[in-house]
Amino acid sequence: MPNYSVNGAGLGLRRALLGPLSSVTPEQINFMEVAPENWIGVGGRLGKQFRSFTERFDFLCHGLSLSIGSSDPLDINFVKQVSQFMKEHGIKAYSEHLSFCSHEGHMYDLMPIPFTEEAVHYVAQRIRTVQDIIEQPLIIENVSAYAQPGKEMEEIDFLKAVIEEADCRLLLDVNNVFVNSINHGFDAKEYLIKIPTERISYLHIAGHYEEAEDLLVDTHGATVKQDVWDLLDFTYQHHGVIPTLLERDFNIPSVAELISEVDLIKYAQAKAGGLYEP
Amino acid sequence: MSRELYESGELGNQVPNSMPEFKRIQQAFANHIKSPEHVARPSDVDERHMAVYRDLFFKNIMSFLSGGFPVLAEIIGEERWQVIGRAFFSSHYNKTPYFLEISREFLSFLEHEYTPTTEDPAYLYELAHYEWLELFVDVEPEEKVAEATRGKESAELVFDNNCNISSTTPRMSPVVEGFLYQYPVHQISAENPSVETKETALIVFRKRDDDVGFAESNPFTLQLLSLLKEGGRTGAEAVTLLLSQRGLEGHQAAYNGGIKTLEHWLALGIIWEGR
Repeated sequence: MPNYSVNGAGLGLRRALLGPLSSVTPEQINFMEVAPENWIGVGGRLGKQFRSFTERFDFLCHGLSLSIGSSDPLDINFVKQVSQFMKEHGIKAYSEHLSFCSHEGHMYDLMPIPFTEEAVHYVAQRIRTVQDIIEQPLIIENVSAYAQPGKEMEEIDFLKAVIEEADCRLLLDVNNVFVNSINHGFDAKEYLIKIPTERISYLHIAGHYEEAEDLLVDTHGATVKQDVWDLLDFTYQHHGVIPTLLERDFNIPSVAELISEVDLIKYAQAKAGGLYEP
Repeated sequence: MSRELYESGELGNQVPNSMPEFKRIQQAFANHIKSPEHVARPSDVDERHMAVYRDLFFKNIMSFLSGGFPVLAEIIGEERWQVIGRAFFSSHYNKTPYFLEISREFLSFLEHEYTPTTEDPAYLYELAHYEWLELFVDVEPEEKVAEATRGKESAELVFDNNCNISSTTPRMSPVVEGFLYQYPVHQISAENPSVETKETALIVFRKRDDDVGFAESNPFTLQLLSLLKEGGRTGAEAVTLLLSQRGLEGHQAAYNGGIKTLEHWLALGIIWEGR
């Protein structure tokens, strides 16, 4: 088995979950993930509550503002603050989106990088700069997209080219693969097969919203759809059992419901573990 | 400016010729999301898909603003609030990567870039400032304040309201700010949106249980607060200095009033202890 920095099934921690999850154990939720942009420079009661979580759970940073594909200059000072934050809280790794979220200032949501050769080199160089500062590999996530402006190659080829050239890791978001396969009309399993197994650090799974039959929106506001559970099973069968985190950012249900959905990840992992031959 | 120019995207998307093609595409995409009324939709993205991005981004920005300024949002009303939000999103250069600091960016926008209309209440900026202040006092890390105000002195604060506050050096709540507003911003609400000008001194501070405390003050005691925040003076020395700055040396009643204020602040938790 490959050596992952976290194990089992995880859950994204949000501010609204600090109270509800205060008595949950690491046996129930094996690891957590936070957006550093929500916690750097936050003290007071929130800071203290957050500290009580990083003391008990294995943590990953899942960033939102790095804007790795942006024309704006890379915010070196920000990357240093993330690195410092990770040290202060013993956070094991840093993942970010393969997208851009700023143009002449931050826009606080994700936009699609044009899939071009030039963009591959540009993004890979910026990832390398980040890796030099954080002194560990950056984990890059495939994002959901509702448009592909300026596309000159397929998403999977763009993703692979960036990862190889930057020599970075991959956070494979299975829901995003499904969402994009519907929105842009490709075969999700073919995409997954092309992913180099040895680059995967962990997986994401989440619910999406069906705006139309051919247009899905990655809202993180609902339970995981059966199609996506099926794709998770397929991913485990093909790449092995990999640590997997549930993202839930809106319409957050009770702790019991969240834990039972995390348990479904554990179930899928156990099921695949019996089948998987390393 | 002709409408044709806008629609061709040229005005919103002036770029140097040396810019790589993918950056041109990104610029056109981002600028359309920021200002859909002024920057044309990228030609290779259809309306239905572009609308998803426009809506996601604008709703996201509005949820940060409404979450940070709930009273202001309610008083201004949905329609006008969206207009202000759009002006912020399309024209302000957001420097912070941190979500809780978007409120500060908006405040800076209101102060330096926004031109109020006659529809806007005259206290718009002050109310926004007061709402931001509550958030600031809630989340600002104690260490950051301590570094700025107390130098190297880092002994842990304890809460001791039995100390003699005039003969010891008062140590303040780790996060305490006082401001003099021109409106009674703390009394404004959707039920009470029309207030007259009235000089209003307010102190907002972090309580011992990490809750946010509020206290009314006056310009005189606000000055006392800033002397105390400088540190290094006993309560009596701070009050004496304040009186001399105000030309009230030896005024016994004013001195007694100053000491009473210190005792009151100790009881409220604006001052945590004396050393």
